[in-house]
Amino acid sequence: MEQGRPDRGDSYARSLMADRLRRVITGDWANGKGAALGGGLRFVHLEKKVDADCVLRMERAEMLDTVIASHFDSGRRRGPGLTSLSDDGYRYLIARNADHEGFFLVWEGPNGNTNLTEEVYEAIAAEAEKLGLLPVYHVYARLYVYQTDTVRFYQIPDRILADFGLNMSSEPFNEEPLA
Amino acid sequence: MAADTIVDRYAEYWDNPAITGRRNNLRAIPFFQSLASITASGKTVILAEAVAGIAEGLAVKPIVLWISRGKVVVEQSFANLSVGGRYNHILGDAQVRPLAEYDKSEVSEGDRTLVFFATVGTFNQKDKEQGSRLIYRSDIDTTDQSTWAALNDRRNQSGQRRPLIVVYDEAHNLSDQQTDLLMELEPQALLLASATMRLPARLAAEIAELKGKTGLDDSWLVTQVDPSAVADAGLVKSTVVMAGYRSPMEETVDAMLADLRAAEEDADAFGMGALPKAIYVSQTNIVEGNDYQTDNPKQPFAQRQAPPILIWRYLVEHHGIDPGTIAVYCSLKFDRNYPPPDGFRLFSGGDSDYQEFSEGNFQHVIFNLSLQEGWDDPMAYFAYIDKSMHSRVQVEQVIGRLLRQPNVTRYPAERLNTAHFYVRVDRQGVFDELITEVGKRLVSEAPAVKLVVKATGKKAPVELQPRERRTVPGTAYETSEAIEPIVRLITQFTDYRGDTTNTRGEGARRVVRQEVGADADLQEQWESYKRSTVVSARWLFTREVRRLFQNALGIAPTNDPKFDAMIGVGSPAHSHVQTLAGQVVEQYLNNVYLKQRRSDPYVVGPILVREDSARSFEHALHEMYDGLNDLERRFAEALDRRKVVWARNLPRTGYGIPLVSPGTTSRFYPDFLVWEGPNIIAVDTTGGHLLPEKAARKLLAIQIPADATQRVHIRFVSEGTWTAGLAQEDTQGFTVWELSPTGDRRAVRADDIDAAVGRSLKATP
Repeated sequence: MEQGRPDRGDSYARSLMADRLRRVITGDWANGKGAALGGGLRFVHLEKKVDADCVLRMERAEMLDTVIASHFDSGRRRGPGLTSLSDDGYRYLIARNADHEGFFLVWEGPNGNTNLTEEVYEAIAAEAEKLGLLPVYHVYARLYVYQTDTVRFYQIPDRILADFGLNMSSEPFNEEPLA
Repeated sequence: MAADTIVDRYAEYWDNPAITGRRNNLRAIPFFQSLASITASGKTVILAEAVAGIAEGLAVKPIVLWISRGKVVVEQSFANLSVGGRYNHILGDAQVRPLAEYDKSEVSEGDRTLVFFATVGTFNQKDKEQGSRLIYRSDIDTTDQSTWAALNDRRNQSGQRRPLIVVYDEAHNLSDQQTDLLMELEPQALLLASATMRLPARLAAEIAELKGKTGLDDSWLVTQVDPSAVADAGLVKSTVVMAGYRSPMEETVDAMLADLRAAEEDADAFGMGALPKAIYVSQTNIVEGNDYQTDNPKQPFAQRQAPPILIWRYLVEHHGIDPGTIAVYCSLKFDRNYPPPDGFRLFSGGDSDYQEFSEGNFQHVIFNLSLQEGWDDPMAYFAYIDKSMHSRVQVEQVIGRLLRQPNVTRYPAERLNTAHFYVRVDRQGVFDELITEVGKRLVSEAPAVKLVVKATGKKAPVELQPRERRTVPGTAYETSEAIEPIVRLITQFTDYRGDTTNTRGEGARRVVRQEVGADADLQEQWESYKRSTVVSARWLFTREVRRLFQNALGIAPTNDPKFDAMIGVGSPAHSHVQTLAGQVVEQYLNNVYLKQRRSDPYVVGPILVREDSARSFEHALHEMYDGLNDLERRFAEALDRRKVVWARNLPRTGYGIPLVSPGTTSRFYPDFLVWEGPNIIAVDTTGGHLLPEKAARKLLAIQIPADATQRVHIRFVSEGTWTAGLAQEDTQGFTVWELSPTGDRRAVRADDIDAAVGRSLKATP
């Protein structure tokens, strides 16, 4: 969803769209005549300014939202996007694409494991097999320790910052601390 | 990689460019770079990356003049590079416009890179007058003088002339007049996408002078895109099958359609999500069988003799193909009294033709040469080349149409990795010529692509399924041991933030430039633009590591704030960063090892075999194999005598193991796979002594997980007797290369081929 034009004081995604969508889905019409359509809506709001340090300090839930948001943001507007599986209770699997390939997030919080190791790879392969996904794994992680040809690796935070439009050659990863 | 090379060379060149002209009218020769790559290797992407890279290094953002030829190419590239297009993001912070929309104020006031699209016209007048799209009015031959004058001036707000980069898609089509026009603009760079250095005379003269003055040679002026890397990446199909037919069109098309059906089944089975397509290349308005007679449009459709109509009718009437799936893309003539039947989809060059055509997603496309440039659909697998084409077939063009591999993925069915050609010829000689030409072309540009020839009358290769399901565990780079040393290297690295001495690009400008009647301060402008090239340490580091060995980046994090330091190109800090990158890659290569993977094994798939030249085997996974060289054949026979289950493994489509050696990631494909109990021995009969020591040692020492049920071992067999020090002692006998208990490469002598097989299959503890 576009964020509207907050620079002109018009954040219509937040103030209008989200609310209207929710009402359409839940049947909570203003005139009271609506019926619930089924399904659901999650409105995710990125609050912090994203820089490398901030990304690396995220907890898993927050990182998950960030990964999905940045992935959607990266010019893949054409064609079908990702189907979120983040509520399905997998340890690593967070989404799948239309080609039956899984997206995995290796991030157990800033103090937990964040690296794609052999053990993690095996767990990922098992999750994919359980869901009948193809052995092409899109993996977001900090370090790519176990490197193999079934993996498409997306490094955290580099890939996320790049997908959010950061220019690697001229812009810093880290915001200067405020004086 | 290729784009990086171009960017680096640009900077290198402008450090000390060649100067030409008379004493009082000196000018610098622009930077030239030609991009040699096979079709389907993503030339547009590489050029866009190079433009973005060059722009990155310039303080005053450049004007880019992007020229293409041919309507299809223009529309495709323009759409891809415009906002919302597939490749727009690659250009970075840039605006894309047709040249017809050139706006002086945008050039003078804006500070972003501006890309102007232009064409060198092959459009007819009708296109230009009626074309609603501005792109058709951006032909450089008819562009308004005022636009040229403005483009020549191109000053920004502070009066500096913005650098001009000219990108040209099909450089050898540039006329001298057009070259003059472009050179008058005094571009800083000319990037040419052209495989050959066969250039127009005017340009060739300029380049000759450049070479003479700088001592640079062709290899510096041409950026090669490594064709095997393209093949390895699965960007192109792995095999080209050419079959010649001395039979009527109907029979030839029958053969092709039968294969198309089989491919459809495979595509469905392997979930490609799209149908394979067939193209039919023929002349347009002639009478079938007589090239000199024009087919009269003033007769009923059923009596027409033009090849596209005959092919269309055969597909629809005989094979019952839905006319809605057939497109005829050529300037076929019809009389208004004798219109084509309903459902005949003709695209004869109208404005919106190409768009409608691509949206139509036709499975069968009948066309002449007009559609050739630029159009390539990865799903195009089959091509019928009509007799009427004779040697007029521009082989490279037709081949290029079919070479792109869908989904950048290799499929277990060989048919889906193969481009098929059905060439109808009068004489064997014509076919032979064609084969020679295609062979030459592939060897020079796509050596990784295998060419299979089915001569006229010979039997077609058949696809053989393996006799049983057999798997081989995959492998991975295990890098945990390299993390610690790399972290140490990065921790010890200097923080250049706030350092204004070591981060400054060295050297003064060496260009002297003075134009008669021009402003005296031109010289100054040049200085400022060249020396203010500043980029982040992170960008320099990651780019350098990627060039040396990309995988090392996976364990070399650069989020440390010191990588935010802005560093001048060519400064001491710059070379320090390069040194760091070199050390990181060295630590990576020293500490990485190959480990057998537990899950996702490789499954042996079907292969393509020409039955008449193949040899049968009793114990092999496939009934027969062809194309074995002498040593391979003897080794295969010895394997069969030993009654072990074995399979021949083909490069690129077969089982591959990543090599641990610097440079582009490449893979090692052993010739044979042998199953013996829990052990799988992968044997290669070439190059045991050819591989670099480190790479060979890592291959021989694949680590196996303790709980593995299958164990992969690599063996090399060379003819003759060799020492571990790689000296050949004797031409007799064989040498089996394996790992000694001390971890070195060891050479073991075997008297004959059976002994060599025996030794190879002896599993090491």
